[in-house]
Amino acid sequence: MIERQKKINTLKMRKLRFLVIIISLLVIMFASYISAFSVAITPYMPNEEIRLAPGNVKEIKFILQNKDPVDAKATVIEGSEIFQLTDEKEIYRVNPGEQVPVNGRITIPAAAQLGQIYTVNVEFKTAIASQEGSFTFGSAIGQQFKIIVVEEQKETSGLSPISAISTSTTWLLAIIIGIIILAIIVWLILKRKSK
Amino acid sequence: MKNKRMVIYSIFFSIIIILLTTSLISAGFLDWFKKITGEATQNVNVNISIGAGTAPVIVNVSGMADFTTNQGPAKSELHINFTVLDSDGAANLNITSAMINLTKIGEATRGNSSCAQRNSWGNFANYTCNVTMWWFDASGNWTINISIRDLSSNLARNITNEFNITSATAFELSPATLTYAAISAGATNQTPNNGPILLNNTGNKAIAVGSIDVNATNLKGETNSALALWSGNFSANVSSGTTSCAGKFLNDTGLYNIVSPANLSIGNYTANNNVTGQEQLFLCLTFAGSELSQQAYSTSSAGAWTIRTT
Repeated sequence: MIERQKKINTLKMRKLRFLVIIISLLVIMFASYISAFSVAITPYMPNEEIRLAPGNVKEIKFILQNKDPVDAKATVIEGSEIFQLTDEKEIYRVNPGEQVPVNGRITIPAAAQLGQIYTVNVEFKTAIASQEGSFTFGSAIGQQFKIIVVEEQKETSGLSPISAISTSTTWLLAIIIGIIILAIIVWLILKRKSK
Repeated sequence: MKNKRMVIYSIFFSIIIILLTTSLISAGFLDWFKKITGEATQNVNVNISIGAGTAPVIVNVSGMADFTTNQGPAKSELHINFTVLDSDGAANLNITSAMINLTKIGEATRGNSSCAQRNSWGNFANYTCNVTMWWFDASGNWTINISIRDLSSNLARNITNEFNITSATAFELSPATLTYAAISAGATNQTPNNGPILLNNTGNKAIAVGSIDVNATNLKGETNSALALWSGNFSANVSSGTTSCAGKFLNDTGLYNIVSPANLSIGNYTANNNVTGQEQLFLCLTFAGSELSQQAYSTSSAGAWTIRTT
């Protein structure tokens, strides 16, 4: 009877030790976990500003990276009247080594005043599951930029106005020279015939 | 009289012929009209010949989109292709002399002095240059400086191309889970036994003072969730020990609490000096309620705390 009790106790102790080891391993795993996150914005915006005219539509992209597989949620915190995320999802899976694009669109109202400044703030937050018995931290990044309403920029061709002029001058010269040569040839032919 | 006329016409005809024929060659008379543009300033590539033969010319550099560097500490490889024309034949190019430098004022120059020839045909050759960039390389406009020599040491250089490195806000924090030794009910100024939380700037954007904040939740009891280590009793600071207990109190209002002295500079955080590209956040539980019972308290119910940079 006593031996049986001893066996049961030994088994219980083994189970407890196993449990302690498992819990310790879990604690070590969670303790060593690093939360890392990166958000870039493209196209490059000097001083985190972009200049657009009333009625303009501009596509932009956020690029997400993470060292470990993570789900990141994108939310427009500010500026939703002119900026929308255009992907059909709001949670993005980011795997190590990947650059995951998040697409967005700026739409400036046609009635926007010149000089008006809009602020857009988009928050990207990692979804970290908090396990029982743990005091866990996740990370978030707020991406903010300003949109300044400016006058419509006129489309310019590849050539500057001055180069365009110089090119047209060349053509004009070629045409004039061509006409003169033709006239001389005709004159010479006529002269020979008259002889 | 007739002869005189013929002479005048002949001279006139000759001038026209000269004009036309010179306009067909690469540096024609009509190029005067093309080059006198009236522009105030103009970048011109200069090929300096110091040896025999004709200097090569860099005729094309591959189009560059915005470049986003990898998150630190990983390096990034930037590939730039260019084409060289050598009228003495592609075989006349000094293959090992092709090099590239990427420059930006105030930044370390990145480059490669051994670009590889991919292929060649006739008078042309294509080259590829791989340049290593780092996560702390500044965002903005970088100039591409490419050069190559021929076997007579004639130099071709091109500095007219540029590209942008995008601005990346990035950081990592560790450990992502804090642990406390056993805390007695009513205890004050308790610090975690695996702190502080170390923040590393893994991007190329400086995080200014006032741009690091914490969204805190209550650490509720896992058996009796009515009891909790209230987030408002936690303090965060950039200083250690009991000073950490007199930092920013982290109220559970659903809003972010700015830990105002905290900031993250741009730099190679692997120097690990707690300054370059690094910040430490020290947390302190200033008071554990005397009503608390013996049980585990965690963020599993109310959710993880979030450290945010803006």
